Amino acid sequence: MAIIELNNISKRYRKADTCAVEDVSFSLEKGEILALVGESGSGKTTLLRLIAGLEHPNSGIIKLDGEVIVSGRKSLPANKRQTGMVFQDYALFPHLTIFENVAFGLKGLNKKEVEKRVHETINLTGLKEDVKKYPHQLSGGQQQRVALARALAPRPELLLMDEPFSNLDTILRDQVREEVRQIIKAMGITAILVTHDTKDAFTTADKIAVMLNGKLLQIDTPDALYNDPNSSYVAELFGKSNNVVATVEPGGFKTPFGFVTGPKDCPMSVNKDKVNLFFRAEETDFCNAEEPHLCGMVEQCMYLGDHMQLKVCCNRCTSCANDCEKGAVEDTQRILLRSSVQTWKPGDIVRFKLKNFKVKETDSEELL
Amino acid sequence: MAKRTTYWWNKWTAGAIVILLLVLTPIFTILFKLFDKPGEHWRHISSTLLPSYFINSFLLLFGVGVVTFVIGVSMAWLVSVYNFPGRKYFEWLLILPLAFPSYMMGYSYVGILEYTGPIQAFLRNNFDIKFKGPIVDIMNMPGAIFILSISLFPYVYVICRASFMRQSSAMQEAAFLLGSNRMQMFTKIALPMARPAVAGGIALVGMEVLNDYGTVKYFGVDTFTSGIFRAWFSFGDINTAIYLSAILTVIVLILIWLENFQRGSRNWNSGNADTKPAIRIWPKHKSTRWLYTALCMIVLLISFIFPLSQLFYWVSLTWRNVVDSEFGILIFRSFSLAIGSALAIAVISIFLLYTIRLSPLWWTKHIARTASLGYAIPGAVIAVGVMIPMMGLDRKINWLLSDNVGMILSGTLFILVVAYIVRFMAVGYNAIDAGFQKTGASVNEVARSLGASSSRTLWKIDLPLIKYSIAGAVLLAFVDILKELPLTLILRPFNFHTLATKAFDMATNEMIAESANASLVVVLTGVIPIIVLNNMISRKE
Repeated sequence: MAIIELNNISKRYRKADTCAVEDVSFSLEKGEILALVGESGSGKTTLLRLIAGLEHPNSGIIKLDGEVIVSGRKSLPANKRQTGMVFQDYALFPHLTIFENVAFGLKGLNKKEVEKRVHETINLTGLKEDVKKYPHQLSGGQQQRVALARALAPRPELLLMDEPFSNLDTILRDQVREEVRQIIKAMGITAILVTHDTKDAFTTADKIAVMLNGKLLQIDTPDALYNDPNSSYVAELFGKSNNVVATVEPGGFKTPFGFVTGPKDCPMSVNKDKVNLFFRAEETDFCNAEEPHLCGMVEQCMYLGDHMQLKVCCNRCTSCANDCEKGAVEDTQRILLRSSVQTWKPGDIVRFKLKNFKVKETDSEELL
Repeated sequence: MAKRTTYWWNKWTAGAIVILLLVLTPIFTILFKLFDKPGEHWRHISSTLLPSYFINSFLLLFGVGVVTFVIGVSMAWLVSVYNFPGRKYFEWLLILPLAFPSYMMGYSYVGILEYTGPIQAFLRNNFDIKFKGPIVDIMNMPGAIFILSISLFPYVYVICRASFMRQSSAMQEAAFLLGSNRMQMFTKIALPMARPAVAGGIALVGMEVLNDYGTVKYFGVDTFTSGIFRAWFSFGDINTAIYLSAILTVIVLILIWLENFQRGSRNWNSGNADTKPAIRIWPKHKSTRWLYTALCMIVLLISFIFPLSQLFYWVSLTWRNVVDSEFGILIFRSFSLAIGSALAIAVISIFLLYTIRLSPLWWTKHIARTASLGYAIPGAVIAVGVMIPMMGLDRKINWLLSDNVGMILSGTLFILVVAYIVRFMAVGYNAIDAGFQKTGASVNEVARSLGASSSRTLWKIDLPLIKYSIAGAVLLAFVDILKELPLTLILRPFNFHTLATKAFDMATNEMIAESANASLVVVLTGVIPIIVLNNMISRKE
């Protein structure tokens, strides 16, 4: 059963021309971790605050564990929702010790039980500091753990995290991400985290929801989002991707970079002349002139540490046996390729094959 | 599962509405009376006195505005851009005149310049130079402008200095690299950027000028405020007093509107909170450095040290006759009244601000802000505005009880406390608001998401975090209430005195030297928060 369910939630702030959140609906099963991904201003934090009860939507219904908690003007106050929240700046109570911070949300327990629960939760988060210390005596990573422990101590049904990793440096971040996922999974809690970092989303979440201008573009598993994005925005968000205009020909597609043999199960039902071939930068293999290949000229190379990113334009090459010239079309197209060989320089001729690609109708280019 | 409730309605909202209605009643009372018939003396006052009230009030506003602008802005520029001997001290010493109520400053200067004063005595004894009467007659309009200016310029100075300090060093460096010299930087960048702040400071000065009664009364300059007093006390014509108050309120509202209008949506200070302030430079020539020191020293001497010394001198002459057990009771009463009212202001401010914090509605903030409108309204006007509904209530109570219990609201300290709350709400409100802003909303939100009720969150989280702001608010309101004169004069119960009214009373009854005892207590008490706040700020730096 869905633990949290949003139906057509919209929120418009005063004086704003557009909705911060517009007609968003989704539901989440118990134990799932959802990442809300989007750039700043896309409405993801607002959505989180609506669920927490810190904002009230203009319209829509929110159900928590089957109960309607928000509908019309009526709403369950934030303190009665039993949702834990971790803020971006952690919002630890500066005048309370670690112990007091974590124990703050515990109610109806006697002193011994409180002590047991606090230590249990703190151990779970792997914090090894003295619980009598104050927040300002802790490092960023430690504060993060206290914030998490504080949210988890009352054993909430739903854990909400607003940019939980953004204040950590890169090395710590990788480690904490891993641990947070394990802790949440170990406790069987449902969690929603907001992030602008796709890496956060990929490594922690079971499901990812992409938001743009207050709208929910796509919600799916990380795998599905990566391999089958429903829009070019989503595709761009999760890695470099290419979109090449091609004309349909018997047995394949003619592109400015050469001829691409159609896959066996190619949807040749496509009755358009022109289609788009969608493939990611890493879904190509470099090859030599003997094999059938596509080719282009390196226009720009970007050194990125473990690999090199090439910007390739469809300059006609004369040196190869392949008849790529015919592929040349009126305006020059550019694609991005990823190469582990780092010796490329502008002007080089690149020969490559597509390992994998998707055919999209050109009419859907708006979406793509 | 707990019940769903309407998302914006709770006990806080209900309480805030009640508080706002109470606080705004006097202001609305006055404004509504504008459409009523004026009193019997209105015709007389409007034909003979009103033009001079208008002219004097505007001359005073204009004169004091110009002088405080010149002194305030130049001092602020000196201490925030240059380094010179003593700068560190002048930075806060120049705020001290705020501790000096204008009317007490006025008495001191009359003393300094008169025949028996130190200057004439010195000249007479050493050089045999004699004057008939005072050296300079300051009991006139220019004198009033001088006195009000030297006691009010710190408003402009403080706000302006804060604005100069907030301007980032990067901006000044950019101007330098583009070839500006110091003067051009001041006229083309710093001053235009500080314009909203300067105007805000001058608006505050203007409100204080319109509020003043003690100085103008003593110096014989008839303004609106003195008109209200004349109608109230000399003619006993309440309706005319109300009518004058209403006109004055409209003038003040126009002043506020002008200030808001010029500010518009401008926010010229770089949004980045941690911009580095510009590095102060040492002027090239040693003589320039000492010139700056001398300038600051002259301003400090004139605006604080000379008048304070005069008070000390008078006290040394008269304290044997004045300081007795009765004087002790006077201090005790005055302090208790001010502390009690200041605490009430703090409690109400916390209530209103916490309601805003919890409320999901955007306009709560704007409605609650009107509670601090009283600060702009002259004390005499508020006194009249509080008096009318209270007298009405008293009549109702007496009628209901069908017994003559007397003026249990309007004739007691109760009315004075209410009026202080209305008038000085802004002082506490702004100080506590700053505390709430600094704490941020997220600790409160996190506490509530952990299941704490709004009241528990206030007690356990918000209040402990803003306790210093609350202390600051109480302190500031306390000092302001202690200095308050016109409102207290109108509303005090029969034969009840505060230090301020006692000083005024003695000074107007030719006991100016004796009045210095009460004045000195007020001034020295006023110095405390300035030193405390300065220490707090410098510790943060």
